[in-house]
This record gives sequence, C-alpha cells and structure tokens, in this order.
Amino acid sequence: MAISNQDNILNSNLKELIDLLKPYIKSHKYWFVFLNIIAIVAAIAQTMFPLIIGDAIDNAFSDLDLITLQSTFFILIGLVLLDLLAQFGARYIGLNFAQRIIFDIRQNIFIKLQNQELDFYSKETTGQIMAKTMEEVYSLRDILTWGYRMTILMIFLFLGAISSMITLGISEIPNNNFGPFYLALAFFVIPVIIFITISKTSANNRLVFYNARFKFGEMSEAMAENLSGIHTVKSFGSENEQIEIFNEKNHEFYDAALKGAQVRGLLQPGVIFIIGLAIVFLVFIGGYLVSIESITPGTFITFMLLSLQIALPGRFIGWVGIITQDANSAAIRLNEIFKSTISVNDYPNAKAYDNVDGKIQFSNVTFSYDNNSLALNDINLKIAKGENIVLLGQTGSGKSSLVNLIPRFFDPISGQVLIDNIDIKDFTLNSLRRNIGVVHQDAFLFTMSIHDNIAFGKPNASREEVIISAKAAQIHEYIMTLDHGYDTIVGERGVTLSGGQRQRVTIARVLLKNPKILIFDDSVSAVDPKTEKLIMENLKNVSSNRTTIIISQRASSLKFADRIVVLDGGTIKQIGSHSELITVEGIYKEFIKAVNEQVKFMDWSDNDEQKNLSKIIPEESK
Amino acid sequence: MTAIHTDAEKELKRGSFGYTDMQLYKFMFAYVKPYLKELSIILFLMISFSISTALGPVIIQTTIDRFSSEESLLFGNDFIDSIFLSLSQSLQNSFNVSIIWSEVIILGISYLLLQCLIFYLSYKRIIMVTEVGMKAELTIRLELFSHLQELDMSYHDKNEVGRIMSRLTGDVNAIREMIGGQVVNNFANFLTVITILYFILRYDPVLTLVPLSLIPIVIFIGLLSKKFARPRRKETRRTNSIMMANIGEAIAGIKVTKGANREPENVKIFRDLNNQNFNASVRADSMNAIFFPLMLAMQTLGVALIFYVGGLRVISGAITIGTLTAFLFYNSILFRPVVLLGQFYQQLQDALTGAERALALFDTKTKIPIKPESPQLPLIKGEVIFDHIYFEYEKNQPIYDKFSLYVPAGKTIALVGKTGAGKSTIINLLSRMYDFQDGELLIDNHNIKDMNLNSFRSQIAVVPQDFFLFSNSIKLNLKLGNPRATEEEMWNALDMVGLKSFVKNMSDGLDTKLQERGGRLSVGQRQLLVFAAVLLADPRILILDEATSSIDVFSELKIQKSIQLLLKNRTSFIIAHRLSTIRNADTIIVIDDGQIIEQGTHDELISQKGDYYDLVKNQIELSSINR
Repeated sequence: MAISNQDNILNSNLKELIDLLKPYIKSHKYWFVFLNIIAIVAAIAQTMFPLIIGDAIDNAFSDLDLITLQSTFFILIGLVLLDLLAQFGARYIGLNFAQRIIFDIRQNIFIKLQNQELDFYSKETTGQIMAKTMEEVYSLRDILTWGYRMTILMIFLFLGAISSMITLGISEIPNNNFGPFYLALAFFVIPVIIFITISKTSANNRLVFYNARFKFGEMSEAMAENLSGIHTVKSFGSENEQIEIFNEKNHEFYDAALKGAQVRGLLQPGVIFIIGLAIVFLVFIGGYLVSIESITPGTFITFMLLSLQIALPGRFIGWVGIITQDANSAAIRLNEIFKSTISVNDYPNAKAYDNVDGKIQFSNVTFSYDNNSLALNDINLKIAKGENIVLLGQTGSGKSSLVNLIPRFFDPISGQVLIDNIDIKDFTLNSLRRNIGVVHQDAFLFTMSIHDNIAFGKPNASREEVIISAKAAQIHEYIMTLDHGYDTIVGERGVTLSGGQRQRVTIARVLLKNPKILIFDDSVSAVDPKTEKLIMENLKNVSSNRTTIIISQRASSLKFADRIVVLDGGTIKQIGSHSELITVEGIYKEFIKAVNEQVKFMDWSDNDEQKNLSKIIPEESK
Repeated sequence: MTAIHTDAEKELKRGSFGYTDMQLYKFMFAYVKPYLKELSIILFLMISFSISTALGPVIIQTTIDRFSSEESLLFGNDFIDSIFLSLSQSLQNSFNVSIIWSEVIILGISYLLLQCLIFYLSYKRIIMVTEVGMKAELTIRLELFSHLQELDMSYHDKNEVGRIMSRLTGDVNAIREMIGGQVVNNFANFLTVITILYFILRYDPVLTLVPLSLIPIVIFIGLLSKKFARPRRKETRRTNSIMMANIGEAIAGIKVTKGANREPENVKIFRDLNNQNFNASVRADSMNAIFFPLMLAMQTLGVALIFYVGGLRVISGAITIGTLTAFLFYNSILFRPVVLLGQFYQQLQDALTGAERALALFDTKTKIPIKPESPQLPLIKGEVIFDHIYFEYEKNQPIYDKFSLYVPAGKTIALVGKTGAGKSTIINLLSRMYDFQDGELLIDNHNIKDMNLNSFRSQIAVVPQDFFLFSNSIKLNLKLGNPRATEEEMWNALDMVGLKSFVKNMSDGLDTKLQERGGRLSVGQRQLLVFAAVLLADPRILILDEATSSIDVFSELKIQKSIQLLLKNRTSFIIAHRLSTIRNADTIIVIDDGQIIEQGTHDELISQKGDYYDLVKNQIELSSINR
C-alpha cells in the first residue's frame, strides 16, 4: 500500500508534533514549568563546570596557587551536588510529565475511537489503529523526557561557551586587536552548520521514519487479521500461506526500519563529524592568528577548551534531531486519528427524546457507502408505531443498509429518516440509540462475564433484570447449567458458546434495554428450529408495544409480520401483508414458492400430517 | 464491573514464568549465533572506534602543549615524533611557513583524518548493529508467528488478539535491542575503558587512580538497579498488553458499543487500564530517575577530583597543563561507556523480560503438532472412523465419552441437534482444531494423530458460519482455498456459486480489495465467496458448519446446484439448522448431549417419529405462513 499523504509529511516540519503536544503541555503546565526550571538549573550547573575549570586553568598561566585550587574544588563539589539533585528532579518530573501526557493522549485516542462511527472502521484496520495507540504514543516519550532536557542543556552549554568567547573577544577590541573577536564569530559556524544539516535532511528523514511506522502498522495489521481469522486459516490449512504473507510484511517493515537506521547511522556520527571539522577549522584560524601574532597562544588555548566543551554534548544534537523527526512522524500518524472527522454527529439543535412511540418514516432516502454505487435508492416507507415489519430480499438487496440508517450508524446522502415525525438528526445520538435495540448478524460477545455482556448497555442493571432478559431470550436455562452461571467469563469472541447461544445472549442484551424500536438483523439464522420457535414465540411477546423490524431468511418470521417489505437492488419492490402479496406476481410470491419447495423437499411419503402442512401454503402453477 | 480482560494471564503477573536467567540467555543467544561473523566485524569496528576516539585528546593535548610552549615530547613516542618533526620540517621548507603554522597544519589534518575515520566507523557500526538486531528480530517474530499458526484452538480461544500481538511487538523489540548491539556495544565499551585506562596510565598513574576508584561505584549502582528494575519493567509490559487487548476488543465490538450507547463506560474501563499502565511506567522509570543521575554524578565528581589532584600535580610540576586537560577530556570519554555499562543492566532486564514472555509463548506447546517428520497422508478417499473418542474442553467435563462413528468414503453426513448439543465439537475434532484426549480417529485407516498434519489439512476444508475474510483482494481470499489457482479457475468457481457477475461488476474485478472482515459484502455474499474458495480447494473431506444459514432462500435455491457440486465426490459433514440443506444426506445423525441418539436417512428417521421427526415438523410449522 502506498502512503497517501506524502506531501503532507514532507511539508509538515515540526508543525504536526507541536500541534499535537501543545494542548497537553498546556494542561500539564505546572509540570512543564517545573521541568523547565529544574532542567535549567541542571544545565546551568553543567555549564558552570567547564567554565570554572577553564577559568582556573587559565589562571594557571599566571599564578595557579593552592588556595585558588582548593576554593575552586569546593565550588566544583557544590556543583556536583547541585547537579545531582537537579538531575534527580529533572528526571522525575520529566518522566511524570511525559507519562501524564502519554496517558492523556491514549485516553483521548480511545475516546475518539469510541466516538468514531462505523464508516471510519471500514477504512482503518485494527492493526494500524493498535500500532498507533501503542507504538506511536510511546515514541513521544523520548522527546518529552530526555530530548527536551538535552535541548535545554545544549542551549545553555553553547550560550555559556559563546558568551565567554565573546567577552574575551570584546575585551581585546579596545587594544585594537580584533583577532579574538573574529575567532569567537568563527565559533558560530558550528551550530549553523549543524542546524542546516538537520533541517536540510529533515523532510526526507521524516518520510523515512513515517514509512517505517506505516510498515509497522501494516505488519500489525497482518498479525491482527491472522489472529482474528485463525479459525479460518486452520480450516483451510493455509498456515503456510499466512506465514508467507506475514513474512512479506515483516520483511517490508525490516527494510523500512533499516532505512531509518541508515538515517540514524548518518546523522548521529555526522553531527559529531561536523563538530570535529569545526574544531579543525578553529585550529587553522587560531593557528593563523597566532602565527601573525594577532592573538596569544594562551587565548588560543582558551578557545580550544571552550570549543571542546561544546563538542561532547554536541554529539547528542544528532540524537535529538533524529528523535524529533521520528516523533514528528509519529505525530502525523496520531493526527490521522485525531483529525479524522466524525461523520455522524449531533446536530446543533439536537434534543434528547425519550420514550418515543416508535413510528418510523423513510422519505426519499438514498444511501451509498462509497458514493459510487447506491445501496439504497429513493426509499419511501412508513412504519406505524408497534408495527412488525419483515424485510425480505436477496443477499445484497439493501436490507441491512436500511436498518443501519435508523440508529444513524450511517447517514443517508439524501432524504430523511423520521421517528415520531421528528427527523432523527434532531435527536441526540445518545437518545436516538437509547430508543433502538439492534441484534446484529454477528453475535459479538466481549471478554467479560455473561452478566456484564447482557448488561452491556446498562452496566448497573441488577441480576434480576439480567435474568428476565435472559429468560426472554431463551438462554437463562443454559446459563444456569454453567459452573459460574451468569459470572462465567466468555472468551474474546465468546467462543466457548455455540453460535446460537451467543446469538441469544446478544438478544438478551438488547431486550434489557427495553427499547421502543427493535431491529433483528438476521439474528436467528444460527439457531436450530426448536430454539427458533421458542425465540419467535418470545419475540411475539417482547415485540408487542414495540416497533419491530426483522431481517430474516427464515419464513418463520413472516408469521407475525404485519407487513412485509420486499427489497431488491436498493429499492422497495413490494409492501403489504402476506395475504396481499401472495395474490400478485412478484418477488414475494417467488419467495413463498422457494420456501414451499424447501418444505416439499422435506416431504416424506404417506404421511398425512405432512401433506396437510404443505397444503397450507397455496401452490402456484408456473 | 470488572475490566474487560480475563484472568488468562494471572499466573504471569509480576513473578515468574519459572525460567532461570541462564535459559533466557541461551534463548537469546540462539538468535545471535547465525551472525557471529557480523558480530566480529562489529567488534572490530568498535575497537577501532575506541582507539580512534582515545587518540583525539592526544592530538589536542599536543596542540595545547605546543602553544603553551612547554617542552615536552610531542606524542611521547619517538617514532611518531620523528615523523611529525620531519613532516613539519618539509612543510616549512617547501611552503615557507612558520614552525607553529606548519605544526598546526599537521595536527589539524591528522585530527581531520581521525574524525573521518571515527565518522566512518560509527556509521558502519550503527548500520551493522541495527541490521543484525533487526534480522534477529525478523526471525524471532516470524518464528513466533509460525508457532502461533501451529497452536491449536484451545490456545487461541483463551487469548485475546491484542495480548498476543504485544508479545510479537513490544517484547520482541526489547530482545532486539539487546542482541542487536547491546552485548557487542558493551563489550566494546569495556574495551574502550581498558584502552583509555592504558593511555592515561602512561600519562600519569597517580591521576588515573581517580577514575579507577570511581568506576566500581558506577558498576555497583548499575547492579543495584537490577534488583528494583526487573519486576517493575515486567509490570509495565503486562499492563501494556492488557491495554492492547482492550483496544483490540473495543474496535472489534464497536458496532455493539454504538448500539448500546456504551462509549462512556468503555472509556472508563480503558481509563483504569491506562492508569495501571501509567503507574507501572512511572514506577519503573523512577528507578531510572534515581540510579542514572547517581551514575552520572560519579563522572562529574571525577572531573572535580581530577581537577583538584591534577591541579596539585601541575603546581608541583609533575604534569603539564596539557596533560591535565587531556585527563579532563578522557574522563568524560571514560565514564560514558561505564555509565552505559551500568545502564546496560537495565536494558538487559528489559530484554530478559521480553525473552521470558516470548519464550513462554514458544513453550506453550500445541496439542496438535504438525509433525513434519511424520508420514504424509496419501491422497485419501475420505473414510472416517471415530473410535471411542473421549473429549473435554474443561477438565473433568467430558463433552464426548466413547463416541464412535463410521463414515464411508464419499458419503454425506448431516449432524443435527439443538444448539449446544456438540455438533461443532465433532467437526472441531475431525478438523484437528482441538485434540481429543482418548480414542482414535482414523482416516482411510490411518491414525490421524500419527500423520503429518499439513498433509491432512490440505485434504480437508471447513466452512464455519462466521467465516473470516481478509482485508485483501478477492483474488487472495480465493487463494485461501488453493494458492495455485489460476484466474480462469477463479472465475469458474465464482460462476458456479453465482458470484461471477457480481465480481465482474466490481471496480477492480478479482483485484477488488475487501475491507476488514470482508465488510460491505453482505454475509450471504461472503459465504458464497467462501464456497468458491472451497471449490478451488477441492478437498477430500468437506465440512459445512452452518455455512448456508445466512444465505437467503433465493440464493440458496440458486446455489443448490453448487452445493451439490460441493458435496459431490467427497466425504462431507454438514451442520445445518435449515433442514432442507440436509434432506439428501446419506446419513443423518442426531446428537444430544454427546450421544448419537438417532442415525439413518431422512425417510428412516421420519418413520421413527423420534427427535428428528420433531425437528422437521417444527421447521415445517415454522415455515408455513398460515396464521
């Protein structure tokens, strides 16, 4: 897969990183202020160190005496202690500051992810999202802790050295000796060259780092998919092909990460090299100035010492540059989540409506998932309060799309959906969904107890409430056979339960909400006829006083449909009751014929009861 | 309410997986072994780097001494000095420059060359170290992944995706950092220390005593940190993986969350996990905040002491100012590797923690090994015999006890029974997803436990109800069935299941990319796609586990033919609640509570008027629309 936002990465400089961190730094400003203060104290202590030594050694040319030596030594010891304390503090505050920000960023990502609607998840894969929330966030830690501290230290060391040099240079100017001053100016070459090097390579490096992160995400994706689909993989015995696919992603990540390593390999010693070059440069200039007797050898040595002071911490500049660029790439990837728009939002005038009657109306609704092909085309449908509607149609005819619009899992591209004559866009999402219960096709259970799974939408529900719902969903008895009953933990995807059992737990989950509008998205397909019968009978009870929409492949659901809506190719083809629809040629009649054929298929010879049964359904001649 | 995760990893809490450090070192060393050659090159680079780094101050010291016009042997080595002097002489003669100037040029150029060398050495080293580490990481990760492919469902059922993923990312990462460079780096650092000690001993033995007495303290602090760091690091990892599992599940269940307005509660649960990880991280990093500054303080203390002791010796004339400067310079070069050595211990703890968790995964043995060395199962006809099978998911809760069933080759067997009766268990055993504890499973009279698993899996296909499609092209998903299928074969297979025109109409045809979990295809379309994959796989034994239940009646009639096609010429097991699917089965088996309670053809079972009869009656009643 190609990286789509290459330009963005190349142009971002540090903007994305700063954008990302700014609000967090603000909300932890006290830690940040403390960090700065104490990091500055540490930096000053460390800057003082070589300056004091340099000064003392300078004096050595004239008169290094024991007293100066001793007093300097005690000052140094004091500085060692000050530095030690400051280092403790800076690190402790730094890590708290960083971890707090990481905590907040993770929390906000999670909130954003929770608030994101389904169309987001059809674009982003689990693997990429997980890589972002874990790895990318983590990489910000380096920059927040020692990256920042180092930068402060280096600035101070440099300022310390340069100010001594300039002071030295200026002190010679009155003597009409501009040599030392020129030398001080030459010293400025070092940071300039380093700065140019880092910023020149920056754009390209960011792309390299971003790419490595992206490939890591892709690898995570391959991993997450494989593990989620492991049953399928094993079913087909395609483990080896899967290993191959993973190996490819693994290798792609390796290649990308190695490119990152090359950048590190160049930049890190590169900066040290530049500093070395600069020192040589200084030696030449200094040597020249000494040879024309513009400066004294003593002055020259002072300069050398000062420049060496900067050489050591300077080696970290490369590091800081790299982790900053890397963190910026991470920030770009995090911002992909943070800046993603939420497609379904509360409208400004949205109100909470509770206890709706349950009247539903679709008016001129057109919907598409990808703006290419229409999933629903100009749907007009009125569903009365308390009515039971069955949606019928072939695979892919738009049944699920239609019901997905009611709780606003998706918004239509045109037209309106109304509940109780109120546009659902005028509902707050929360209140809208509170009124609607959806039982999905894939019975998803969370890794928690059965009780908590049933009480998912109402975490404080009592055991009694849970049991009532479970009974209505025909799963109570089974739950009671389990060792821990309602406290049994079900696996990540509820695998210790059979498909039918899982489905009934999810039905109980919805019933607990006691919604006015019930939607069953093909939710009985995985249960046996006996259970189906039980559920259907219960459905009759629970659906009274509720508007119920059922998508089903089973004829059993037709039984208690007030009206049947037949969809085909995203449009409504037929609406009516069974008795109305059966009399006209159309999809419904064909459906009944198909069911009939199935029933006939089950037929057995010389059994009166069966013959009677099959005659119940009117036969049609072709 | 409790957190979203199970207690699956509670035994791994903060304590031991029960490995000795030796075992963990051995485990890690095995991955470095193939790169001994590279490692020796890295070592060479490191040593050269150490020496070149140590030479830098020599040049500087010489320069300083020359300028402060102290009389001293330039480099303290007659041979080098003579070269230096003759070079300087010839420079003066041929370019007519002053002595100082010529010496500056020579020193400058040698410093420059040295810097070039250092640059090259460190560049090479960084690249090589990363490469070796990443190659090892590549191998570990691939091996772990392969191992996961081999692990049977009893493992996967109990471990969340996110949690497993954390093993393959964070933990492997920590091992990488260790074996990639840290060991070699630190050995080289050790050599650097020795080299520099040699240099400074020659300069001034007395002054050398200062760093020599401080270094052991640094190492002691490093060792001390081990005791505190390891359990804390482990806790960080553990909380990390739980958090990852939670994120994974939150994404997978997003639809349910939306419908249940559950977002705030989920956020609250995540906050808890996030908080646990925060606390663990702070606790672990606090160790760093205490021990690292202590080690660094030894370095600064060294500077102060060298200044003092060195200053005394300068005053007494025992050493030159240049030597003192060089010592100050050497001090920081000397302590950097020492501090790193101390820190090495912490990284080692990280790696050991990672190694522990990775090794624990490796040591989770599959109950159903592939057995590549075992005999290949020849092309089978498909006769299946279950012989006194005993099976339990949980200890002492048998699902099947002495279950026996004979299925002749080429027959279609339907398994019927109420939800949870144990139908899926039978096929999980047959497809070797789970291992049975006792009894024999014979395929064409081969005891399947003794055969190469791959050779068996390639002849069997299972279509579960919740079939998983990969977010890949349709083509690649079809290739799940047969990696060598041609496009033509694919179109044929799609045609047979009635998906040809649908796929043809998609923007990229066979190359159309499906979304995660096959999203946007309807469930029915997904299943048809899987049927096409099965047709391409052409297995000898086929299992349809509720595979048709989500297909609507229209489509079912349409694909009736392809289902017959699917079942033809192979032994088939069908689980279906829609009984019409199984009407034509050669044998229908009714299962309840781990027992076969009825067995026979449709007509036979109907005439028995037993459970099957009831089921059929039920279904017909359900299907009749009369009200």
